[in-house]
Amino acid sequence: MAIVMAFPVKTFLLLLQKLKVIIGLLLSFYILIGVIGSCISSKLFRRLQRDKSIGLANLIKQMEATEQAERKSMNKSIAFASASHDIRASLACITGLIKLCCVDVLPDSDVYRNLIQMDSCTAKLLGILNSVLEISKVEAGRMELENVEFSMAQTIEESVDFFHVVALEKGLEVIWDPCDFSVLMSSNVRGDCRRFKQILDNLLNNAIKYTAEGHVVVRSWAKKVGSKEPEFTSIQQGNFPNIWVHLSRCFCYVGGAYPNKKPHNSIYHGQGDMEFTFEIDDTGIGIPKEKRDSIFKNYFQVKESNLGCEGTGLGLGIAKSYVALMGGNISIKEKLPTERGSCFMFNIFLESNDVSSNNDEEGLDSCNIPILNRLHSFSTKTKAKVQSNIHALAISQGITVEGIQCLLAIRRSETSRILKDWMKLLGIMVSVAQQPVHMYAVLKRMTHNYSASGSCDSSIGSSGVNSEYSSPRDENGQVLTFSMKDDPKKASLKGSNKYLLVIIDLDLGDFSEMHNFLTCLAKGNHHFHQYKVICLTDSTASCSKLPCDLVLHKPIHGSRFYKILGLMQEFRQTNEDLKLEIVRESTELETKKLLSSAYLQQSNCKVLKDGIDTKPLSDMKILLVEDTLLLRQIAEKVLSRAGGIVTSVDNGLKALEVVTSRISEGNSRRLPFDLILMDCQMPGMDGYEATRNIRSVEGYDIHIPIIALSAHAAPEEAKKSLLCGMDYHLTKPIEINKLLEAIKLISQTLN
Amino acid sequence: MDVRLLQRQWVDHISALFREGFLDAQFTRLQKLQDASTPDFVVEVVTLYFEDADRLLNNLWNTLSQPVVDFKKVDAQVHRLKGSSVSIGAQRVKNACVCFIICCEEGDLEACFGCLHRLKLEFTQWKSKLEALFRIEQQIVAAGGSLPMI
Repeated sequence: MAIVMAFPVKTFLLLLQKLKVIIGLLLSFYILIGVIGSCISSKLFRRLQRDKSIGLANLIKQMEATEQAERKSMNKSIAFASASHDIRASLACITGLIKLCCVDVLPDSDVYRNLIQMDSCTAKLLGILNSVLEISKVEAGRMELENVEFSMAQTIEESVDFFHVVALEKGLEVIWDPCDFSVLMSSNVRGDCRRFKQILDNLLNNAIKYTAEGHVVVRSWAKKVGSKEPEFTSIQQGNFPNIWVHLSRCFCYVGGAYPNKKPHNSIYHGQGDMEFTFEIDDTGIGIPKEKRDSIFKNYFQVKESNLGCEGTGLGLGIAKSYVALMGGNISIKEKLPTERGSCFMFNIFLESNDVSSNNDEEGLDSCNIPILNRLHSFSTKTKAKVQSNIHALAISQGITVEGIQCLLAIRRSETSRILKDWMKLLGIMVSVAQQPVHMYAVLKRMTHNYSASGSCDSSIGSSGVNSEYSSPRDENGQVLTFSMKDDPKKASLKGSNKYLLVIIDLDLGDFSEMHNFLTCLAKGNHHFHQYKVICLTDSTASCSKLPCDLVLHKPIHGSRFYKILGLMQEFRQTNEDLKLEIVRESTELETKKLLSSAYLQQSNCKVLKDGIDTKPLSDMKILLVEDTLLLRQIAEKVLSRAGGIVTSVDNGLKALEVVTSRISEGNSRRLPFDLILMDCQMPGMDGYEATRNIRSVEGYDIHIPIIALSAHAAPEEAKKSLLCGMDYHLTKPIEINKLLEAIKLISQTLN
Repeated sequence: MDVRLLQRQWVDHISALFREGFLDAQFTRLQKLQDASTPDFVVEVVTLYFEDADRLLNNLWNTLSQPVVDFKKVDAQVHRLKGSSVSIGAQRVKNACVCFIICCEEGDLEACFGCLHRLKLEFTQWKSKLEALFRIEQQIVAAGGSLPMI
């Protein structure tokens, strides 16, 4: 098919011409628009590029400025740290020179007094410099935490004991509340003990400084950080790159600057790490809310509360730095409006070294670890489990609390509360007398008014003591409350109450009333088969005022609990009970001790003579293991002068060889030596290793008493000695009186 | 010289040593250990201490002079010297050791050198005073006398 269009030629040409113009105009128009458009877009593009360049340049400038400032600050800190070392060396020299000058002047002269004053000022300068140096070390990134084994419970106890003495002058009560006892159970840790102590001491010092009356309580909890994946503290969590940032990098790369840089101090909490949380709660003047954020800054002090208080304002800054290095955080906890004072809270992460948490059973060690550390299945998740576990623990250690009642007469409220609630956790019925004169009535009530509903907290003389204790906490940090009504084992506590434990605070005064009460107890005007009396005191002078079974120095915490438990254990240990104890299941060391006591009696163990004796060691065969010739000669002389027959060796390996050969040669039932004095630090085989080897060679029928000799007086050394199998620990040089005391204690323990 | 004068000199000298803090109660215990069977016990142990301390001070200098200082080793050596000083009754030397141990724990090399210098000073002083004491004792014995009881 073909389509034909016909136009008249002339009309078509005219039309075409017109169209040409229009087309030309349109084309020109489009070209113009295109040109204008490209001009505009190129301008815009150039502007965009320019802005981008300017932005990039500014960012780079800012980054450089920041880096420069950081470098300057770092250099300043490093320079300051170096300068501080020079200053410290000079101060040490000044101290030395002052001491040398003191030698050449008369003690009564003004010059001598001035020199002593100079020495004291130098010591203060050194203290201030040490504080500043610590901070500069942290800022310069040169602070390295130590990694040593230590006992958390012991460290807390030492600090609180120290500040208790300081606080006595102000009449304050300072005590450690173990709450759920988790710290006591996970006490063996690895970390920087010295710096942890500094944190705690700093907070305690501040609390006491700013508290005029009332108390300062240290609370503590331990929790295992048991996740499989690494955890980071909340300090670092907010700084991690998130998905949006990753995506934004793909679309907007700006000069290689990544937002949310990963912090270089992130701390890894792997398996086995423990988180320790502490509260230092006082009833002092408190800290205004507006000052709380600034208080951890260096050199800051709350001025209006600083009247008469010394200090540089560095302590909390240093404490915060140390806490951060240990992976934790420090803050001020909000208190109720009715509560006065302040409460500092901090947490740190340490590596657990505890035998129970590592599931590593060692029979010999188990006797030397404090009793409460052997809670293997402890959980703070439910209050019932806490209570029943502690109860079960006491039973598993041979401490049956059935039939034990306790009468408390304590002056200080926190001490009374802590003791009361600990006893209740054990399952012991507790009654409280506010004054000595009320003790008779309370005793009467205890013996006659006992009921199964557990109304055991018969507190007399107060406006009403709440028998529920609220400081243990569950996993959400919620306060747990306890009551004897919730005790699932209460049925087992029914029956005759045979044993009475009386805990009297000598600081209540009124000794005549206390004495009369104890006389009344002794006469047996009650239904208890046995009773024991514990006296609490701050002063050694008042110790002898009352007849008692145990005197404990306040504050009552930590190791004092074990002593109270030990006394409770004695309730059932009559002569008949001791013979039966041989048959019961016990640890290796217990068995060995009991067996060796029998053999010691047969092997004519030297019994020390009482009274004045020029040869108190009475021909005891002593093996002396000491590598330093000087010390060995002195010790040989001391021992032989006191009547000992001394064999000396200069290292652990020779000691082991001598003991082994004598055991194999001699009568197996006779000890090759009556005593071994073992130096701890020796080259090659040290005293600890030698002792472990000797113990393994001895077998079950021999136990040679071994006393550790060490230059260090630290409690950790003593514990280390006991843990490796030694029986006692003495510091050098040997003093015959202390040695005799040690021998007596060992023979009492073994017998 | 008259024996009594020598004995008086000895008493004054040893009293000054106690008063100025060079000696403490441990030295008295060592003197009490001396008897007829071991008449030179104190001199023997003090001589041992001189040798031990000399050697330890040299070792300390060598250890601190290393390019990389092993502070644990320094600490162990100072502890050893402290132990010997405590056993012999050299109180001021022991006190100097205590300061040294603190500097070791902090890893402060400059301060350690300062402490070593002070320790050497204390030991040298102590040694010279004890040597003077022993010289007087020898003179007393040579003159036919005996050492007074303190």
